Amino acid sequence: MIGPNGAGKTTLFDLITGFQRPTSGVVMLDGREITGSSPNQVVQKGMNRTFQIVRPFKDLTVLENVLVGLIQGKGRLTRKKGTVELRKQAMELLQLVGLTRSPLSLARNLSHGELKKLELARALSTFPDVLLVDEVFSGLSSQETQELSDALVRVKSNRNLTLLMVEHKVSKVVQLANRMLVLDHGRLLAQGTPREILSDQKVLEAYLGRG
Amino acid sequence: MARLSRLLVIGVVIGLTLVLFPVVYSNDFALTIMTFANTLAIVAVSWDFFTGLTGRFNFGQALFFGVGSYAAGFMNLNLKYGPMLTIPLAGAVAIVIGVAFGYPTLRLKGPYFALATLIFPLIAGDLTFSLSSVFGGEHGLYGLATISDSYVVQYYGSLLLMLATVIVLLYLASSRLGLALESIRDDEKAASATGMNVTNYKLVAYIISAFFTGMAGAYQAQLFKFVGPDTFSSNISFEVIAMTIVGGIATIVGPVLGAYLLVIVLDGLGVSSDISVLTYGVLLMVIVLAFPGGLLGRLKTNLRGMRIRRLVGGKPAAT
Amino acid sequence: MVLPEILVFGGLLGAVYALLSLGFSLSYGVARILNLAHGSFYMIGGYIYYAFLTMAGVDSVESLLVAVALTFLLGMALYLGLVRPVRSTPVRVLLVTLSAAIVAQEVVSLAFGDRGVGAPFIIGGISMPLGVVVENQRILAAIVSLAMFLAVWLLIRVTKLGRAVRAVAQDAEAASLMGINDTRISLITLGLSGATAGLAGALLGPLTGISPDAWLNATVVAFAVVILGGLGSIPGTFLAAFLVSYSQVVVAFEVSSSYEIIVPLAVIAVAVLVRPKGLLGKVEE
Repeated sequence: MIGPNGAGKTTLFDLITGFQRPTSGVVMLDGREITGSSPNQVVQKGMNRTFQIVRPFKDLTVLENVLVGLIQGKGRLTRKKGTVELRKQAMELLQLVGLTRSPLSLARNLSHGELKKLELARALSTFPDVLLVDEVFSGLSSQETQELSDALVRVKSNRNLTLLMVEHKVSKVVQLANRMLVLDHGRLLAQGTPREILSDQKVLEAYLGRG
Repeated sequence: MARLSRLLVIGVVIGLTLVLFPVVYSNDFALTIMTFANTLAIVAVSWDFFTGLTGRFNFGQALFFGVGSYAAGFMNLNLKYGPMLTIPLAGAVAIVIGVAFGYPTLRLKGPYFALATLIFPLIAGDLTFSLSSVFGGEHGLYGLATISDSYVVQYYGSLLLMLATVIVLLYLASSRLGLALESIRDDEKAASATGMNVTNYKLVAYIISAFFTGMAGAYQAQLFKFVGPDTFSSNISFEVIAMTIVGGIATIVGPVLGAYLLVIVLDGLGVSSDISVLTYGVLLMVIVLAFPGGLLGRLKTNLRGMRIRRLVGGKPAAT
Repeated sequence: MVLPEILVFGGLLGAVYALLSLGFSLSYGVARILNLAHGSFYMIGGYIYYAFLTMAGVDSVESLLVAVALTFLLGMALYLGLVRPVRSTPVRVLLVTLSAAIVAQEVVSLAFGDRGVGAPFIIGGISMPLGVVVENQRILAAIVSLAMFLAVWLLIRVTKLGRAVRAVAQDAEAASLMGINDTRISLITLGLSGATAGLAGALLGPLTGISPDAWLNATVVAFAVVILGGLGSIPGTFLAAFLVSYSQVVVAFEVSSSYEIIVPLAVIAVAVLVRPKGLLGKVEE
């Protein structure tokens, strides 16, 4: 999903994941309505998101950050995971997102790039079927961007989930997207494949202004 | 492994000291002071479990202390239950009150919840005055049964209750519950994004805190054979806050040190009440300014280590 | 017929509550400082007035001025000495102000005893508005409180300093980028906070008597009024002050004066549950 600043992309994420309540309209997940569900209910139903401004649990270790989600059951399949399983899943998750920092370091000591990976791991710890990712490449160096991009590709194939990304970096968008949505002033401006979108006149005008 | 056994040794030494205390200091005054300290330590540890772990400031811990005291007194006088029964029952009553007050207020944002906790004990204290036929008004309830008239027995009783509280709460704090609560303290929004119902978790911590504090109140009721409206006093609420801050917030064990320190300094040295309260006010000020983690703040790391070991069976290395 | 009594006493009390709560609205709404020792300024103001009047032989108007001046300085001192070092962590601010309140209570108790004091009235005699017998002191307290409230409110709205204060209230970071010195503004805010609460204490003290533990009640009232009226809204504080005073007075007259403090607070607790932003709240907490 792309669009100029202020188009309402993060607001849309908030509405979908229950952090804000829509005044009209309906949110459907997998054929079931989830409008008005609270954020934790949405997560229980199989959808999670990352935050544009990362929200790690600063006073907890990297490991604990990931464990918080892992110890919650999802939906009705709340089978209490044993120690061995928790450990395995936690380490797998950290490996999946490419976080090589010691699991016992405090989240507050991580670099910006590492925090983005942790944020991704946190969202994945609830085993979502749909993952909303909000401007995850912002503020990253080109190497960090590449690492994270690789991680996302791994995540997508490894976990077999649907990824909806808000993103500004055009190169990444072209590289990763199957389909695109363009938002402007709270409205859906266009949708299609990257090639279609990038040659769409309306889209160019929205980004560059008329004339 | 070395650090763990060193802690264990320290723990055992302290434990032995506490257990053998009456043998060394057999005078009644010292025993009473320590019994009182143990009782307040329970309240402080309970407070720490809720506020230390969830980060939601509770300014009215005395609510549960008073509820427990009065419940025990009431049951003793009217239902003729003995202390062995009233103490756990008082804890149960405190849980009910905790649910009643916590359910509507825990969903409120920080300062609103804090204000509410400030008000509730005042309301409860006032109720004892207005329902004076039941609760004795300003005279309170007196002539209550006691476990024993022996200072030594009372001391061991309080010690047992205090140690049980610390052990149980340490266990809970180093469990998945504790982890969930600490994540709430750090960031409620992110915590709900891991699938947990934040308000429910806070409520669970709140009623656990209520349970042990209620029992402490009931213990004091049989200790003094009397219950008065000042069991709801804000002094108690603020004292346990001071004890926890001084001892070390979110350490569960720290408040015990804080309690001993404060009770011994305040009541054990025989200074005037104003000077002693002044001292603890200044102590609190100094700790907040200079040692915000409290005297035993380092125990937080140990608690975390304990939790990690329990959840994933040992400390993992980097990938 | 009790209605005129309620109208008069509720209104007169409300004016003083407005002044008392104004300071809390400023320190909490502007400087984001939850000052648990706010009520201490009220208590100390009452005691300073008493001390200078009865012990130093200063006349009542001057004693009042001294009380205001000293509580103003005390407010600034509290900020500089205790609050500023821990400003970055709201929890520590809470705790440090709590400890200050406790210390203040004990110091005053050691100096003046814990029974409480009652200073002589500034003006004696009674008047009969609406046929109700009221001490002139009570009317004076209300008038001075209203005047002071208005003065501070005008200060905030009209002067350059006031605009700076409002800027900091809206967005402290942006304000500092525009050259507004946050420390200076916070100092003045806390100073005003102390002075207004101190004045309220000096005015109301002779009527109700002041004891060292009066700070808790005063803090709770101010806190409750500000929350009820809505954070960041001075008109809201004004309105809420009267709501609180009237509910208190109604309860005192109709039910019994021992419920006086509790019922209004309970009402506020419920009101906040129903409408968390308060009556006219602007600031989202």
